[in-house]
Amino acid sequence: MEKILLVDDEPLILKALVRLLQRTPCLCDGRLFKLELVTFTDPSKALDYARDHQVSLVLSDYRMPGMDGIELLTAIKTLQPDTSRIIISGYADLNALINAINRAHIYRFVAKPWNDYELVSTIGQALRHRQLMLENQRLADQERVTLGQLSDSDLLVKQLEREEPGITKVNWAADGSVMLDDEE
Amino acid sequence: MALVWSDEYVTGIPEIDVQHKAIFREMGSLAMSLLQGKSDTDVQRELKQLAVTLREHINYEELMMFQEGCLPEVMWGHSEDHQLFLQHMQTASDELMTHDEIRAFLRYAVFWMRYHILTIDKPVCYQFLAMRRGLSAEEAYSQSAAIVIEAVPLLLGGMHQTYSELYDSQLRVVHQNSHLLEVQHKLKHTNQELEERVTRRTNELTEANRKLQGEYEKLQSLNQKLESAQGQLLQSEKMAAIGQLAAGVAHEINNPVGFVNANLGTLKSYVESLLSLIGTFEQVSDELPIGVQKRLNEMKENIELDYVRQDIIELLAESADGLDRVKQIVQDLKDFARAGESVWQDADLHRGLDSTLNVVWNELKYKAKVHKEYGDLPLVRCVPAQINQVFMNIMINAAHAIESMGEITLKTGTAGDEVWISVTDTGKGMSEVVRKRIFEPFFTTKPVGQGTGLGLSLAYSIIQKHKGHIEVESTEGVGTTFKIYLPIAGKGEQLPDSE
Repeated sequence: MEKILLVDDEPLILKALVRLLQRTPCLCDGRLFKLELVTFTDPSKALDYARDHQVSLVLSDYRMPGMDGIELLTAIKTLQPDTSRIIISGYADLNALINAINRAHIYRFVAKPWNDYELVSTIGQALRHRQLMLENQRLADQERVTLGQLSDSDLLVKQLEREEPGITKVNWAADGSVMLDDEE
Repeated sequence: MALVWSDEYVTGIPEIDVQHKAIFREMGSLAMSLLQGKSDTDVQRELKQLAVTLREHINYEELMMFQEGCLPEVMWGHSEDHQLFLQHMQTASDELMTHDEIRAFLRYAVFWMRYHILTIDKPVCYQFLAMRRGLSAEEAYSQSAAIVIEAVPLLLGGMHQTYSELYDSQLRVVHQNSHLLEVQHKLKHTNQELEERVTRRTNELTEANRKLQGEYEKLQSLNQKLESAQGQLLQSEKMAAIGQLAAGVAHEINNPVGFVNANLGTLKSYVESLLSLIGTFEQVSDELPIGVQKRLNEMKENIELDYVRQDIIELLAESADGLDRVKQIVQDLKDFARAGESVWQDADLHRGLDSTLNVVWNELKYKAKVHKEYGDLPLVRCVPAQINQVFMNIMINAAHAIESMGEITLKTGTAGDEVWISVTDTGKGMSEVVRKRIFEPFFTTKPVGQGTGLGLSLAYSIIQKHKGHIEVESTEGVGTTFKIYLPIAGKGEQLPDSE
């Protein structure tokens, strides 16, 4: 199951996206991705969720109250660099586009109103791309272990971090206590 | 000049001598009065008196010549001299002359008296005496000639004086004449100067007038330019305001359109599933009890299932069409606000025209024959996607203006540092009222649902951004020409993006 975060301040958009993605098979390279959809109308709640859940892909609106899509995706990127990030928006100025690419490193920018087929296939491609990247990393790490460049424990830490983002990092407070949430 | 009696004037006839002396006296008295500067009336009275005395004396002499029996030619010659003088005398006494003039006349009269007594009266009186002595008239006349000869030296003296006086007066006349000439010359000179001044002033005035007229015309044309600049400014301000509005509206509309569009897709697949479910139910309905079948059939008829089944697909398709139209309008609005991408390139506008023609060929092919009259165009610095959009909007409008089959002519050329592209159609043209409003956003003459009224305002805003301009000529019933001018150097590139 691929966990997909859908973020838009407009609940009806989220509902429409859920209907579409639940019913339409998400295929790429002959592989079928099963999607687990989680929706948020509040981007900060989505960010909170991403702190302790592994997320495969985030599809976010650009203009939202409180935090815009680029801030959200940039924050999620620092938490989970391997998450695929897509912006879906009806309107964006040039600055927004530049930031989306340079800061949030988005995979695609999808225009509203979207074309159902295109959106689903974009998500499929993003997931397939992510899958390949992860596989690549895994194979590279295996090779490094074989070559002695990486210890077994290091590999384990990496895998743990991938599955439970933030688990391998411990924040020490000044008084020696452990900080559980790494607020930025 | 004063007349002094002397023995030279004695004629030998006492009564005549007495009369002559009286005339001399009156003349002397008049001369004295003039000298003393007596009043005009006194002088004129004396002059009149002199005239009377002279006339009486002349009458006396002429009567005497007749009584004494003088030769007729003597009488006639004497009388002629008298009459001539009397005429002058009459004129002098009749006309109110100045003292100077009377003095001149008096001088003449004195000379005349001398001459007359010496050369005429004396010989005639000699004849009287001779005839009284018993000589015939002829003999008396021929002897009297000697008396005339005696008078010659005296007369010559008189003549000499006369000449000298004549010379004096002539000199005066000449002098006065030269003075007059001088005055005349001066007058002429002044006149000339005046005329020159008038001419100069007139020229200055004409020049000033001409300048004024030129300035007035300049002012008028400036005014006109200002008016059109103001109009364009107003237009571009309107465009900018609409653009901002459009951008905001587009964003807001895109959200609902987004989910309605997606839902419509989902709904279609739901409906297909439901319809196939109903189909399956119908297939298996034979296996149901009769009562249930009847209820089902009743309900089917109540809800007109056959019709609904057929119409629901159509309904969904129509809704999708409507949504597509909304999407197109929003797309136009977005294009209008941002005119799409903004990459400046050196573009071949002929290629742009041709590719645009391909895109709109579907709209054109049943409406018009397309003629191309391309000139030589250099590469033009522009945003080709935007310029193509301008071409497209104008070409589609041209096609829409043609009701049955017409012609569309594309022409290009250069003018200074600009290129121009014109699109001419043989369509229905437009009125002046319409022509003035075609670049206004949302202004359309097409039926509701067929035009958004944004095509030409978008074209206008794109050309404005390129620092070009667009001209429209249209005649109702004949056709319309759009002519676009673009600067070759891409003057709009340096401008900061309005976003």
